[in-house]
Order: sequence, then structure tokens, then C-alpha cells
Amino acid sequence: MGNSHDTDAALDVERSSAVRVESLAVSIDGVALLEPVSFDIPAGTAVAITGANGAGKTTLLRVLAGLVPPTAGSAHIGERPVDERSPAFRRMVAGHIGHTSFARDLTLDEQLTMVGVSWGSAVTSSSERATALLDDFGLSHLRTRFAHELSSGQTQMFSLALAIARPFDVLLLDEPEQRLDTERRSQIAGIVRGLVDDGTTLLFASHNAKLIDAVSDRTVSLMRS
Amino acid sequence: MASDPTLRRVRQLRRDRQAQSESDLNYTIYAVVLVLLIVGVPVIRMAVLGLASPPVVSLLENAASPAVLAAATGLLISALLVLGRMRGPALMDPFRSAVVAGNHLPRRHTLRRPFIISAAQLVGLLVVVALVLSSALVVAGTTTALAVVTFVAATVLVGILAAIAWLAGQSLSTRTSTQVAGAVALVSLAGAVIPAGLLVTPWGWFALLYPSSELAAWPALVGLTIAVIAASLAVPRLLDGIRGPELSAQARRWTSAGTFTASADFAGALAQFRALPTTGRRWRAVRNGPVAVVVFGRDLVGSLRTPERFITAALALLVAGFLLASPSVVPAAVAWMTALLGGIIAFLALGVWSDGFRHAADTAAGLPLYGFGAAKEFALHATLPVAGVLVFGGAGALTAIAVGASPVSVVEALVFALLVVTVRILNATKGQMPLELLTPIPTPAGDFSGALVMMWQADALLLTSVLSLLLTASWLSTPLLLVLMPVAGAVVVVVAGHNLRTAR
Repeated sequence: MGNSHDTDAALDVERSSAVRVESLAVSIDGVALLEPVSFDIPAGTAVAITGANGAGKTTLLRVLAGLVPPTAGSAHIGERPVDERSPAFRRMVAGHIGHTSFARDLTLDEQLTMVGVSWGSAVTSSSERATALLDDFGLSHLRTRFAHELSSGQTQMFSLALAIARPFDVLLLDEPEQRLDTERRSQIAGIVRGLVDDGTTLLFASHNAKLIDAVSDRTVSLMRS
Repeated sequence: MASDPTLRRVRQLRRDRQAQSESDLNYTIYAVVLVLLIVGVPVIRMAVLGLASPPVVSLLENAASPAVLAAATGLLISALLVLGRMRGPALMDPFRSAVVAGNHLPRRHTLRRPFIISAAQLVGLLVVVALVLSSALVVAGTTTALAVVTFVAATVLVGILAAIAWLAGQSLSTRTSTQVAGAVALVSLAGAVIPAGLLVTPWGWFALLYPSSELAAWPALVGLTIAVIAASLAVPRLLDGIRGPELSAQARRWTSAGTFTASADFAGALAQFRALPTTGRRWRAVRNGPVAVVVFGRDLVGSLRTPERFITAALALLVAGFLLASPSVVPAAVAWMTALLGGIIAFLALGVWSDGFRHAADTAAGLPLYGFGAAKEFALHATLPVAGVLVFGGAGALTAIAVGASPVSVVEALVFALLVVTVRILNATKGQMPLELLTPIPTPAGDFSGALVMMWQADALLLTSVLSLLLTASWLSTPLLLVLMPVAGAVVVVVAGHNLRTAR
């Protein structure tokens, strides 16, 4: 499904979505999980979030996804404050951060189709989109498999496909290169770069220099406290 | 005794290791004996005296009792055939599965001991039930001691037969064991309703030995003995037929389940036994139509991809519907048992069709995957369990009319089963156990925190049990019940919504 301005239902969503973060910080009981950070990202930009383990990359993405509240500062996506209770916010932001919940009783193409259907697409067009996604991710030959029948690398590829099967304006990915071989990493780089070229705003945490070089327009470096 | 030197050495090593924890063993024996004396004996005494009350005895002495016993025994054997695929009787821990069962020795030797232990446990359990039942009849003076001895002996034989069926479930392929289980269930149900049906199956012969004032049916005991001897001859081949990877998979699954249980994560433990789909991958689960129909179709096809779970849920809901509609036709003293059993079976059966709820709860905690919104997603996934209640629960409840249940009790049973669907939603949304529950609560009787953990883990089942008992409360009129149950359902859904919001 890709960028949400591909669909009719997205017409009420602002097209020039961007991410604005001001002095954003997260701490628990006085222990900093994310040191204060500020940045402003125009729409249609790919930003790599880098930093050592524990610098707060995943925490930053989780805050932007509305899964963790910040303890200081603010974050806006598409000029709206981050608030996962807002349907418009949920409509704008997609991603893959940590665990993906698979439907254990559906095959890969059916899961992707159901995601499209749930966002208002017809079954036929969702099914076509599912076929295209499986093709893009090199999973076509596995379309009738169940998720528990995939290898770890295939599971990662399918998780990423599932994340972009729905409409969105901003895509958040946490280390998309995990468990992938060189060829698959290049494949992912091509797919997400294509999304950015089509107008998606992408923030992704990564430790992989080649992926960062191939995809990102700029980098936000987080410092460990 | 192990005849093979390798087996002897492995067992010697194991005995040496166990000897180091002799004090643990002594403590376990001490605790078990105390629990049996303090809890077991009074409970068994209460059960015997309760069953010996005139209304219950008249029910137990009913002419249809042997037919019911035959059907129940046949269904137990059928269930054990299915259970064997998930947890067979010939099972060891993962390490011993790899070392002992993976070596050069025939599995008829290496797996014989764990099978015998499991079979003995099953036989022991059935004998306790048989003793309680027949003791009640002796107390009531409706049977003789000889009839009881004969019945207990027959129980031992049928227990061995059931253990062999359990082993067959572990050894045969999924398809074969499912087919055999289905055939056994059908024959059992048919044998219970057709005249002279008890004469054709071993469990029918067992039922003919049900304690009564008449002379025991000795030919039935002889026939049952011959059947058990014949079935026992197949045990070595069944043990040899167990596949190593499946043995290891079962062992790992049970170890994981034990770990989850030890860490008070019963949901995680249960997930270990939830069968994964392997069939029907080419069936079209997502079809054109209104979104409610699309999700219903998707859930239905998804459920049919684990046919044994689907069939189990359907049959269990049939039984639950029958039991929930039946309290008015059994003696008042045991009406609560019927309702409670019906409620628990309905809760367990609906667990099979709660995969949609669990998936919805899982996705609700992360970045939105589906565009429905959490409330709508739960509502859409409720269509399958609701349809299951109406079709299978309804059929079971309507059957109860044949034994004297009123149409109003059928409606009550269905409304209650729909209430259990909301309890299933609540159960899917409760998330991780609060760590505060692990805080020790010292009392004169010991640490109470364990009881709290158990209550938290089983809260949905406890809630269902309490609600099902209310079905038989004399102070609740039918109209009031029919109003209160939807209200209770609404409250349960509100609590589930709160759970979802706090989980984020």
C-alpha cells in the first residue's frame, strides 16, 4: 500500500508530513534512556538514527510511535503532537519496532491482504498489493507459507513487508538489517529508498554503514549518557 | 529392570544424581501425604456422601447410566488419541529424549518405562473416580461389594486400554490418529443410543459392569480382558513407531510450558500447546464481502486449518450447551455441578476461537498494523465465537429439551455462553502479571502471594465458574438473569477496554 497519499482515505491527512523533535528526553527513576535531542525533518527525507548500544535509538523511535511517553520535551509528526490515541496520528505512522505480531492461522499473502482490507481497500486490490509486496521482498515463493514456517531472515523480511502493507506518511524502522544477509540488506535498502523517493518520511535506527549510506539523506547521532 | 547394559548405566547415573536431592524427595513425600490427609480424604468423603444422597443415587441408578458411562469412556479414549499428538504418555525430558531415545536401542525398551508410569497414573486416577462412584452406591445400599470390586477391576482394564489409545495417538500420524479418534467418538455416541450398542465395544462391556444389584456381566469382564491383552500386544510396535523429532518437540514444549508455569505465565504455557496450522494453506481465507463477513471468513478458515482444535471446540460447545441448559432437569443437589461443568467446558472450548482476540490484543500493544481500531477489531473477531455458540452451543442446548429442559433454559444457556465470549475478550487483554503480586504476604498458614498469583492466572476461569453457579441460584429469577447477564458482559468488555488502554 505504501505511502498513504496513494489512497482515497488519506486525502484528509496532511501531505507535507514531517517530524519535529524538541529537547526530547526519556528517563526512568532518574536514569536517562534518551538524552535530550532535537531535530527537524522535512517530508520525504530519510534519516538514519545512529549511536552506540544503549544510546536511546529504539527509545526515540518508540516515543515517535507513541508507544512511550517522553519525560521532557516534545515530538510532532505532521504538525500534530505524537499521540497514539489520535486516529489521524495512527493513520500517518507505520513501522517495525521490535516484536511483530503475526496471524498464526493465515498465510503470508493472506496476512498482507488482511492489512490492506483493514485500512479500507477492497480485497482484490489488497490481494494485488500483497502479491507485489511479496515479489518486492523476494517472498513470492513463500506466499502460501505460515509465518511459523519461515527462517529468521525470511521472518524479518516479512515483518518489514507487513509494516509497509498499510498506508502511512512516516515510517519508523528499528534496525531493519537484523538477521539479513548482504543481498537482502541491499534489497531492503532499495525498497525503503523507493518509498522515500515517493514522499515517505523515514526514520531508521541502524548500525550498518552500507545501509545508512544507501538510504539516508541525513543522520541523527545519539550520545550515550 | 532394564535388560540392556546401556539403559542400566544411564538409569544408575540418574539414580546417583537423584540421591543428592534425597531431602527434597522426602519433603515432597511429606507434603503429598499431608495434602492427601488434610485435603484429599475430606474431599473424597464429601464426594461419596454427596453422591450417596437419594436424588443423586436415583440419577446414578438410572437405566441410562451404563449408556452414559459407555459414551463418556469412548469419548475419553477418543480425546486421549488426540492428546497423544500434543503430549504422549511415553515422554521424557529433552535431555533424556536426546540421549536415551536417540541412541541405538529400540524405543520399545527406552520408552517403556515412561509409558508404564504414565499409564499407571492414568489408571490410578480412573480407579479413584470409580471407587468414589461405587462407594457412594455401596453407602446407599444399592449394590454389593462384589459388584464394586468387579467394576474397579474393569476400570483398571479400561484404564490400560485408554493408556494404549493415548500411546497410539503419540505414535500414529496426525491424520490417522484424528480419523481413529473421530471414529471412536462416533461409535461411542452411536453405541450409547442404539439398542444393544453396549455389546459391540470394549468400553460398552466396561459399562455393562457398572455396579448394580444384579449379577455382574462376567462375559463382559472376560471380553474386556481379552481386548486389553490384544491391545497390549501392539504396545511395543507403537513405542517403536514414535518419531524422534516429535518426541523431542513434545519434550521441549513441555519443558517450556513448565518454565512458563514456574514463572507464573500460564498464558505462555498454554500457547505451547496451541496447535499451529499445517493444512489448508491453499484455501482462500480472505474473500470479497462486507468487512464483518471478511473477518468471519478469515477466522473460520483460519480455525479450520487446525481441524482437531475446531472439532474439539465444536464438540465441547455441544456438551457445554447441553449441560448449561440441563440444571433444571437434574436433582437440585447437583444442579450446580452441571452448570459449573458446562461453564468451564464452554470457557475452554471458546479458547480455540479466541485466537482473533489474542492477535488483536497483541497488535494493539504495538504500532498499528490493522486500520480497524482496537474496539472494532475485537468486535469483528467476536463473530466466529458467537457463531460457534449459536450453532454448536445452541444444538447442545436444544438437545437438552429432549431430556426435559425448558426452552427458557435453552435461552439462558445461550446468553450465558455469549457472556463467556466477553470473558474470553477480557482474558485476551489482561497482559503481563503485575510484579506486585509476587510480593510475599506472610500469614500463619504460609506465604499467601502464591494463592494471589494463582487467582490472577485463573481469574477468567474463576469468573466463568462464579457466573455459571449463579445460573442455578434460586434467588435469581429467569427474567432477572436474562437482564443481568448482558449487563455483566458489558462490564467485562469495559474492563477489557481499560486493560488495552493501560497496556500501551
